[in-house]
Amino acid sequence: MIRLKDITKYYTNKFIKTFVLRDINLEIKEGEFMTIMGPSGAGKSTLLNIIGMLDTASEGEYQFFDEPVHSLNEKQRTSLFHHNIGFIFQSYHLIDEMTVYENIETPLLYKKVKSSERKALVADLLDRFNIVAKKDLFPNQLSGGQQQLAAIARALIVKPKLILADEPTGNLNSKQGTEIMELLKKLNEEEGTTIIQVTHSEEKASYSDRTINLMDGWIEE
Amino acid sequence: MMFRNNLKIAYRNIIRNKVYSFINISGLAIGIASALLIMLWVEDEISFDQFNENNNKIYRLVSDWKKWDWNGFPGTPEPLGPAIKSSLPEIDNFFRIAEFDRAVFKYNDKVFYEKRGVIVDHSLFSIFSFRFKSGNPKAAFNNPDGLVISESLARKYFGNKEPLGKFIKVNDKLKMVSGVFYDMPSNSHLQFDFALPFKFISKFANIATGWNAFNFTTYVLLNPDNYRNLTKVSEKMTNIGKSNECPQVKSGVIFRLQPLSEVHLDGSGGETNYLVIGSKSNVYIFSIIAIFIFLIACINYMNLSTIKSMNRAKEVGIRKTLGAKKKQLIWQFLGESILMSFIAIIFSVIIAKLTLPLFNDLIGKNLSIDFISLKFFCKLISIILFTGLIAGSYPALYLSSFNTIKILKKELQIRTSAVSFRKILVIFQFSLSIALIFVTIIVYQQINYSKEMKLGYNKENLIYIPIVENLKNKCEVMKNKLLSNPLIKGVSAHSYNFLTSAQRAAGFRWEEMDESRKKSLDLIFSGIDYNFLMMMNIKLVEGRYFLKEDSIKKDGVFLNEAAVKDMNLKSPVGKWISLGKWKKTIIGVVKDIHFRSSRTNVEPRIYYLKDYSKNASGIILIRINGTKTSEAISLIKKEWNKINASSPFEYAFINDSYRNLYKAEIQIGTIFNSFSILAIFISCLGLFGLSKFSAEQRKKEIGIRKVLGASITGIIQNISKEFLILIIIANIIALPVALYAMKKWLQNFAYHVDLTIWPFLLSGILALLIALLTVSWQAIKAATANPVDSLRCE
Repeated sequence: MIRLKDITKYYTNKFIKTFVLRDINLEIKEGEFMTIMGPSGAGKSTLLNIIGMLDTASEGEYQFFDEPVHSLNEKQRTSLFHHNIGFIFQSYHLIDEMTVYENIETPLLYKKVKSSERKALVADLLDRFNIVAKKDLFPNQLSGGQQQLAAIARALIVKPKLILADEPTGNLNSKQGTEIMELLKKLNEEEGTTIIQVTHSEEKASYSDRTINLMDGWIEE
Repeated sequence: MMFRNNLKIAYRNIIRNKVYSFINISGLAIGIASALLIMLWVEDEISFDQFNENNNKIYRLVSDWKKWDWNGFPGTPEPLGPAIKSSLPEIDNFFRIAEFDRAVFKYNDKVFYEKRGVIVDHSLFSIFSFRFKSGNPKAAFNNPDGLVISESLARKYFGNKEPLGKFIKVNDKLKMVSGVFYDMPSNSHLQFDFALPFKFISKFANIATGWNAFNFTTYVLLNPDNYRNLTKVSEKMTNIGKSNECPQVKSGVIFRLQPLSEVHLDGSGGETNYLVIGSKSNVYIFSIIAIFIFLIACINYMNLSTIKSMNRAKEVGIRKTLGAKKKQLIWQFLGESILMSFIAIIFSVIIAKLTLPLFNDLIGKNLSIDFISLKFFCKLISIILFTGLIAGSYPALYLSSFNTIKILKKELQIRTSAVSFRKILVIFQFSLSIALIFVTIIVYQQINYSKEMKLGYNKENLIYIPIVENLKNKCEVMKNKLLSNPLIKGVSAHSYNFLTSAQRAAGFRWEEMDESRKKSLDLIFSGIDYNFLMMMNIKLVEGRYFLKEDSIKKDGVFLNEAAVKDMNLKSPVGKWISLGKWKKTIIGVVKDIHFRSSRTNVEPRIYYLKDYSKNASGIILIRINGTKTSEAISLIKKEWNKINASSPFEYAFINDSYRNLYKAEIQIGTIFNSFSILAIFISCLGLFGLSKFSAEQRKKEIGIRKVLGASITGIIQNISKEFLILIIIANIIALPVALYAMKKWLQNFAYHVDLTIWPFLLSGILALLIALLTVSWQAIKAATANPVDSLRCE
């Protein structure tokens, strides 16, 4: 599904190149649950953002299914992104001015899905995640775990093939964290959604099939 | 769907950020309301006379005379109209019009002064689109005792009764109503309530006719088939004047055709009772003010939205990861600003509606807003869209261009380019406000200067009353009665109200006149009672004052210095001066007196003795005891009522009337004043928002500084400095521009204030102080906050 070849990322600041990622070669198959681990500043999030097409590599090739992402233009990349990728963040990133329902609905609006269909899809997800009662609340009225649930529901609403989770449990207590991890595991196993997560925690990593370690921008096998 | 969703978010944002929304909406609402009102006025001004069906074929004849700076003087000789109609095929029709002095109307027990009267040819009613309600114009103007009145005048005197054929006393002469016309539309530059037939002008008006008296305004209806260029027609008319031996034309007057569309905004002819004159420069000036205020309000919106973008940045980032395209985000934010301007415009319409009476007072008009017309609706929609786009475009583009990763990683800083752009906008805003303050100060200075100008005569405690009705033959009685009372210090007379008008004649000759002299001597005539110069405290340069005996001999005239200079006359006393058969001896020269407004230079003037014992006209001037004003007035009233049977008593102070000469300037001054206050208010609203944001954003920094031992004043200075520098730059930009504009404006006045450094300092310091007050409010709040609270909230 994803093939990274010699991906390198650096920032140039006053003629000094700061490398964040160096010669990353990585293959991820459809249906995999993979963890990227490593200390702060190792380049975990940057790698995730490149895979998620929010960022571009300075050098190297990126194949997503059959598409050469590195040579696509902005518009093509956005379209590819829309149809395949859902993001989950450590700090949830729900839109504060919107209710849970509206937050979950928003990606569908951008995909121009019809109203009746939208209602069905959102209702289904609310039901599955057991947050029907919370649908009219605003993010600041929810606990962290509930917010992350809503955020995951929002990521899933467009039925992405790939979910990218940047420390999804980082802000949660251990009980909530475990619940979220079990939910992700279930998604991976029952629906075959490919998941890539970034985490510091060995315990959270244990939910996944495979773990890679990043150190100073290099993969340590 | 998307739209509804965005609308909802926009609404929630407005509610959540109450202070910012309030600043944005109230600023925009005030700005739009001001612009609406001003544009209402401008629209009215430029719509004048367009209702006339012959609009494009009507011209006013004006006279140009380079030598005397006549540029579009609307006076023409009385025989000109008939002469050009009979000999020029280009002229289809014409009418002449002259002012009829205010008159007393008496019908049964109803007695009023009627001010707006004219003497006019009946063809007015076929050239202009004024219609008769009863009677027909030709017949109505065919009777020397006929009187044509307006519908509302008819209602005033006759109620619902048929006015046609009714008899009414005008200045005690019986007139018969021979026609009634519908009231003129308020945007007609010709406005009068009653008209007398021009055909019989000599019967009821003492106005000189003939080719040498430019006392009448002539309008013509051109035949568009018979001419190709206006200049040719004008030349032909001038030639007709020449062949008829018109002295003024022979010495340089050129007749010119002025299109009807230009008449209303042409102020060069001065005021008469039937003309509504606007000012072209005011139309420009007010349009500019409207645009200024509107821009200032839009800038608030741009600035506040951009800084608020920090709080919206996260939302933008999330939306992008959820699949929003840039275009969709731009539309979202544009939609928000359009919603904001929609709310603002609702308020602005309410504000405009509520303040319209006030505005009408200010401009001296009676405008109304037609709230349910399609035109008004379209105007509102276009203002909403325009404001939304103008104010929203920058924030929309700025917000939608955020880098997703940086936002989500909270790395986003407001870019330096955005900072400087915002600063430029603040500078621009304050430049406009400071310029307006500066202009206001100068306008007021000039008005004051004009009011306080040394006129050369003593205008204190000077009352004048018009010589009307029986007073015409009893001036002497009145004078003697008044002088017998100690309340009255002096009584004299002048042949017309010298503040508001001037009677002039040309073609004088005099002893030792240089025969090679080309230009004709044009003098203003002042017919005075013998003691006028003394009573007015007008200083002699040469010769002696008039004595009572001179009135019996009826000889002797005075010249002012300007006249002597123009005539190039050495030792004028004892020499003669003549105009046709009229020949007098010069017995003295007096100082130049500013009888009229400071806009014009003192013109050459001749004072001659006028007989006030019988059939007099003009005004009686009465110097009273200044400490007993009301007693003096009631004394004059008592005497008036003894003499005059029907005319209601009236009087005016020269001082007040003199001030009235500056009505236009005072009006501009008040308007500038009001709108510059609004401009600075809106600017400060914006500045308040910005400083509030700055203080919030720097809360943590200020907290740390305080923990490290910074003083409160130090912090206030720190925050305020950032904004005050902008105001100082705005000063530097605004003042030269405003200075240039005001220099031009002051050139309208022959006598004007010198520009000193004070208005600069004053407007600069004023803006700085107001800004400081606005900013320090937030700065003090931030500086006195408990650092523990501000540091914990992170």
